[in-house]
This record gives sequence, C-alpha cells and structure tokens, in this order.
Amino acid sequence: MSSVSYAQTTRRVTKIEYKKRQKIDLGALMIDGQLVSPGDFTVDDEKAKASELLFKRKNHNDRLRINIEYVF
Amino acid sequence: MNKYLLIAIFIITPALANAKGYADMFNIVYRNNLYYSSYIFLKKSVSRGESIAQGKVEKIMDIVHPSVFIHDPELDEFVSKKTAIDYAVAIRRFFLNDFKTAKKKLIRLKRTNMRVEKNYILGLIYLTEKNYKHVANRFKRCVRFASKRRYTHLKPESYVKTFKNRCVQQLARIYFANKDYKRTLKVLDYVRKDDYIWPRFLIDRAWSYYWLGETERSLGSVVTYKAPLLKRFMIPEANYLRGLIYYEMCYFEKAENIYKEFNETTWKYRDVARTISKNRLLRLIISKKEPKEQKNKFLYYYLKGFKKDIRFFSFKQARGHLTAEIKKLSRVKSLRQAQIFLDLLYYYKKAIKEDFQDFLKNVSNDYYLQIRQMRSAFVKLNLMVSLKKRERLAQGKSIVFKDELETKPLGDIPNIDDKFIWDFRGGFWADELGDYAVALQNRCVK
Repeated sequence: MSSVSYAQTTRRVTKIEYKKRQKIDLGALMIDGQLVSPGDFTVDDEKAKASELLFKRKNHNDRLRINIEYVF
Repeated sequence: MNKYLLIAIFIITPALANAKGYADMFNIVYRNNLYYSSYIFLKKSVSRGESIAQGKVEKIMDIVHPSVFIHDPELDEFVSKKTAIDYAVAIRRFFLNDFKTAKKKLIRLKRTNMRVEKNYILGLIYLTEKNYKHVANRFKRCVRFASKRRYTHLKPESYVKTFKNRCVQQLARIYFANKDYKRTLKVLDYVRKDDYIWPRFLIDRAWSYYWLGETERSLGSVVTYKAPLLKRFMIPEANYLRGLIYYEMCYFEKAENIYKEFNETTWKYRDVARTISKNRLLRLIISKKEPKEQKNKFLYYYLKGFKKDIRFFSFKQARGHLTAEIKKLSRVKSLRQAQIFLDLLYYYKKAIKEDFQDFLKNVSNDYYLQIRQMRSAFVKLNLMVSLKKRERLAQGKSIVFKDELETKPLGDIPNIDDKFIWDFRGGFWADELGDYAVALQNRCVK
C-alpha cells in the first residue's frame, strides 16, 4: 500500500508543445549562383569542365624560386 | 710577377698595415693582377676607412665571383654603413633573403659598372614583393644598360648578352602573367636567334601563341626543339604543349603517341635526375664525351643546355683566376702570411665549387619536378583522349584514331612575309628556326 501511494505523489504531467506553423517568404530568399534549367546540364558542359582541368600555363611563378636562388 | 715581390709583400704585410695601411697593400697586389687577394685587402682598407680608387673597387667587384661575397661573413660588418663595397654586401644580403637591406644598398649604388646585375636583382626583389610596375622598370633598365655596357675579356659579350636576355625573359613573363600576349611576343623578339639563351624562350613564345589562338605557330615553336641543334633544350613541358594542341584540334592519335614518347624517353629516367650525386653532375657538365649509359646520356644532354649558361662560364672563369693566384702564392707558402692568404683562396675556391654543384643539383631536382608535373598533366590529357575513345566505341566506330598530318608542297603556299613552313621532317634551316608553323586543320566536329 505504501508503495502505491508513493507512486501517486511523484507522477509528473508531461506537456507536449507542437511548433507553430512557420511562414516562409520564398520571394525574399537570395540565391547565389546562376539560375539554370535542367536542360542546361549537357554532356558538352561536362567536357568543358574536364577540359578546364588540363594544365595550361598562365604564369611562370613556379620558376621564380630557382631564378632567385641561382642568379650567378 | 716575380717570387721576390710576393715575398716582400707578405713579409712586410703586418708592418705595412700599421705604417702605410691596407690601401697601399691593396694597390701592390692589384697591380700584380691578384684580384682575389686584392679583395681581402680591400675589405680591410674599407673597414679602416682608407680610400681606394673607385675604378679599382669596381673592377674587383666585377671580377670576384659572387659566391665569395655570399660566403663571406666579414661583409656583415658593413651592413649598416655606406661603403665602397656596398655591391658585395647587397649580394650577400640578397642570398641571405634579407631583401630589404639588399634593396637599400643596390638603390644607393648610382655610378657603378654593375648596373645590369643591379637592376636584374632589384627586379627579382620587386617580383617577390609583387610590385609589378617597379619590376618592369628594373628589367627595362637592365636591358638598356646591357646595350651600353662595354665588353671586356673578363665580362665578354656572351656574359652581358645572356644577362640582358634574362631581363628580357622576366619582362616578357610579366606581360604574359597579365595576359598581354602580343606584348610578350614583341618583347621576346628582342632576343636574337643566334643567342645562347634563345632556345629557352621557345616555350614562352609557344604559350603566348597558344593563348592568342595561333595554334599553328605555337606548335611550330615547340616543334623547333626537334631540330638536332636544339634537342638539348627540349623540356617536358614543350612535349606536353604539343600533345595538348593536337588533342584540342582532335588529332587524338598524335596526342596519345606524344604521351607514349614522353613515357619512353623522359619518364623512364626520372629517378636519375633525382638521385644523381653532385660530383657526378659536375663531371657530366664538364665532360666533352657522351656517356655510354643511357640514363647518364639523358642527363648529359639536359646539362649540355646549361653549358652556355652564365653560371657555368662564371664558375669556369673564377676557377681559372683562383688557380692562377694560388699557384703564384704557393711559391712563397713558407711565409706565414702567405699561408693565411692561401687558406682564404682555397676557401673561396671551395665555396664557388660547392655553389655551382648546388646549382647543378637544383637544376636536376627541378628537372625531376618538371617531369613529375608534366606526367600528371599528361595523365589528365590521356584521360580525355580515352573519353574520346569511349565515345567512338559507343558510336560503334573503331577506337584507333587515324590522323596522319596533311602535308602540302611548299610551292602551294603563297609567298607572304609570314610564310609558314608546312612540313617538318627533322631537318631545319638555321635562319628559319622559331618561325615554323605546323599547318593543322581543326578536325573537331562542331
């Protein structure tokens, strides 16, 4: 009996609060980047990207160290 | 110079130093063409504030190999003073990466014979500071002063011209980095084709033509390396550029073959460039005989391209001077003073040799890095060729590309100023080197 009464006194009431509905203004969202349509992802695009990975000399900065260290 | 005069100098050195001063000692030694020994007296007289004729100081600065300045800690005494040997101090500070002091000292040098070297080094310092306006000005000055500089047996035409052309190259590279390719080519035109350094500029020209969209001329420039005379200047990057152009113009088999050729002739020997010892490198560059082993041959020809380099002939010249001075001093080596001088001269000789060996090792390591860099570039290029093959397979076509170059008879080409030579079969015309263009029809289907 004593154990039952102890259980009754310590019972907790749990309140569940649901999140209120949020309103998102899609028009105010800023998106970085270029807007593209699904049709823009073509094989040519992929080829161009892959081609960009090819080494093409744009400057000679990698030759600077040896020029400085060995002038004479 | 006779033995007795030398004996006299070294017997009376300590006494003279107190009575007459080091400036007089300098004059005696200088008169006898002992330039490296003069340098020792020059430092001592500058330290004491004794004056020496400017012309003589200039000559010493000109003759003594820069490695002597670089390895001379006694010069640190003059860092905060304005002295007649500021050029030597500046060179040492430059190589110790103290660019600030080097710059200050060099800018202060107004009337000097070393204006070509001064402006070249100042240009390099501004380059590290990314101050491109000043860089261009300094290299332009270097070119201008080189045209005015008188040639002597100590600084012959080859030395001055090579220095001038280094300045031309640096200037061209600044315009190249700024994407001003037409100006790059215009600047590179200042270098005559009969100049030692000219073949090294072919790759610079080729990239400029490439970015200008003149692929025929670009290809022509790199193909020029195929001339027997210029083979030694061929660098892996030139081969890669050939492959890249062929790929971009849809000559895939050509691109593939160049990669195979690179693997066979260069990549295979890469480890030799990395592991070779400094002594072996020195022996290879001095040797006039072609080595028997293939891997040694590979480096021998690469080093041959540096035989006309400033660093090689200034090393040879300095070694000659020092050997002659040591020989003279050895006759009186029983004298304690002479022995001290001899020790210093041996130290200078060692420093010059070690610096040159370091340079060779660096060149060889740099070659190894270039090979590796180009290998990874080639791997990507080859991947692109494989993609093309896959496309062809998907279309049910053969994966073997057949892209034999089209040749045209010379007579079919109109005689205009920029006449292209259409066919290249390993021969070359010395006066036309560098003006080749390979006629390629773009095969890419648009």
